[in-house]
Amino acid sequence: MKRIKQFAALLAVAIMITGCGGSGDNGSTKDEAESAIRIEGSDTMVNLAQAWAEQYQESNSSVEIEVSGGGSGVGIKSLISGQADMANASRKVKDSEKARAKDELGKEPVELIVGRDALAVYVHKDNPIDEISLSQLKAIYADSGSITNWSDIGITMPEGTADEITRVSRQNNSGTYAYFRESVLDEEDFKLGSIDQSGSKDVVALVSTTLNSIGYSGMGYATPDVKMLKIKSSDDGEAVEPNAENVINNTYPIARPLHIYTIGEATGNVKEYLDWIMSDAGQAVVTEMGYVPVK
Amino acid sequence: MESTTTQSPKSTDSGSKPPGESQRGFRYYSNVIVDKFEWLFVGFIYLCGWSAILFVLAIFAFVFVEGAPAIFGNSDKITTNTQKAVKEISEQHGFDVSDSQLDQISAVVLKQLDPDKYHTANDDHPKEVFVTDVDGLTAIQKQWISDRLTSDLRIGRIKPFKLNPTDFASNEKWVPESAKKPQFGIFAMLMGTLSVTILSMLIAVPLGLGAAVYVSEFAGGKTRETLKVLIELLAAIPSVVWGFVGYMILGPILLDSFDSAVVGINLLNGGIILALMSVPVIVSMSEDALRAVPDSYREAAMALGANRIEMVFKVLFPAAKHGLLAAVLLGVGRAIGETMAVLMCTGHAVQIPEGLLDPVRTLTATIAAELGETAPGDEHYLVLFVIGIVLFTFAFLINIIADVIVKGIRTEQHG
Repeated sequence: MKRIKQFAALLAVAIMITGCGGSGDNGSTKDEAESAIRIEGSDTMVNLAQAWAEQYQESNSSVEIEVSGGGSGVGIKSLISGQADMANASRKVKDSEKARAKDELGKEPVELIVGRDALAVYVHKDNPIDEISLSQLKAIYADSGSITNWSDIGITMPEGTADEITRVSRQNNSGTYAYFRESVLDEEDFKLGSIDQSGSKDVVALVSTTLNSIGYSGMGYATPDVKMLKIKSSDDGEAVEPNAENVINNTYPIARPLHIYTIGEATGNVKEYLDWIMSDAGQAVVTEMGYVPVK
Repeated sequence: MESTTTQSPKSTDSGSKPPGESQRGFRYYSNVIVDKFEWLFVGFIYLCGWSAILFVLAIFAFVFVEGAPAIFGNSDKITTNTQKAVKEISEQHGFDVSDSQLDQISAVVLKQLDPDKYHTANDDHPKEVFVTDVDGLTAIQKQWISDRLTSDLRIGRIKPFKLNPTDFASNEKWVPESAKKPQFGIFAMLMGTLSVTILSMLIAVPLGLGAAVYVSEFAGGKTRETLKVLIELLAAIPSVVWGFVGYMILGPILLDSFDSAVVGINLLNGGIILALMSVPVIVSMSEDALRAVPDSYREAAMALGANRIEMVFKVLFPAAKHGLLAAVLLGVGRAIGETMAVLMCTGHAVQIPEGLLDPVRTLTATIAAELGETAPGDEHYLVLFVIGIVLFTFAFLINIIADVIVKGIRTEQHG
């Protein structure tokens, strides 16, 4: 008898807990989800996405926009699992991700190019180097590369600084990581032992405190403590500075499109927002944030 | 338990004679309610107790089940996927496939997707699937099946994968997202975890034991109480704050004070921060162990003319050795399991450290940094869960050892 009572009590409490939880959830969150646009993804684009959201909300205060970073891969994953309405990505969506979206949601991600970015190569401001070629970058970062010291590329570091190059890289779910591997390393693997930071900003922050380091990140993240190198496509080519003009006229060799993905064609709130991003007002924000507009 | 529940209603009834309706106050009614609904409270306590145990078991089961396909191979999954796909195709085209034919097709697919050969091509896609030698199907039906299976494989829905345990443990290359040939070796990160943990213990154990001896033996009344509160406060600092301290404050200090340091976030930085994080655990545990040593030991030592050094090292430490060891092991557990702070302070570079100032990467930090991106069921995802199993095993072993040692104290004290 006692046992049955205890069991009944257990059951009652369990039902109470789950019952309350269930009804509470259904009540309020659904309405909120309808008016809020959830954006997740690329760390390169998170500042830009934030600026867009703030500008847009000034004129459309009823729309709530939540922006978070985490990396391109994280954004696309959230998009597929339904935790985000839009994914920012500094790389293209992979075939396997497309397939998963189709499997789980029956629709493929739809791509929109919303801006362009020069991938800048950063060094400490006291580093005497000013320009670097793509092949030198590859020899520094790639697994097969042989350059480990600044003197290997003819750079003498200031007195009291180690000659060794400290490579700063990104974690492997980053779109920037994938883009750098594709365009600079020709899809070769990275040399292990680089310091892998989880954010675009962190790369620049670390480079700004580490004299003998080199790192890559979006050009929007430049600070007074670091220097952006001019890039040469070939060893005897012309060194091109990373700036908007050189991205537009296609002379800067490592510029990449910035994407926003939605599942299927965007509708409702999301569509209005995307239309605004592509409008002159939205593209003006792109320029303001140090990126290059599409038009 | 049984006796109290049956007796309590009686005792209230007979103990306090009903003093008339008007005088029955709040206390009387609350007693009645407590008696009536005792079963509800008891049930709640049962639920709490059992759910706590169940949650722990469920988490362990989850980590193990998620990681298992990497250890045992995911051929079962490929077989079910293949059979499901073939059934779909046959329904679409209006023919039947028998169970034995399904088995044959799965066998063909598995053979063609041999995990050893899978990554040899410089290409992320497996080879095409030819189901030509399946009995009893027409040529066109075989063609349909082959085409559709091949397109399913092309887009990466089915990938054969089995982790090679020796390679996993001894390969120092961790390149899970390679465009060419992914490599899943944790040796460098294992060395990272071990080196950071050992370094932090070298710092934390003397510091922690010293602090414990001071608090329990030398400090008097008020000082002791204040210190104890402070140490408990120290234990409550979130690990991300420790990480921040390491990244922003300790990093630049290390960079300035060591000429050979090329970067401020490194093994030494992580070791110091982890040591500071484990000290509170070690102090409070070993302080308890020292307090548990009976005063007669101290009195006896002093009566024999021992000075304080002799008393601490020759009397207190041997008497409290089990408790102290358990404290140290809990500190080790804290250090191995710590994630956020080491992610920020160690430099997160996959390499075997050659000196104190080299950046390293730990197993926990790797999971934290990479799990977010991976697709469930993906190779990278599976391997991260296997790393989780490895860490679980470490934590489990350390806790068991600590437990056995603590049990040792109890039996010694009672015996």
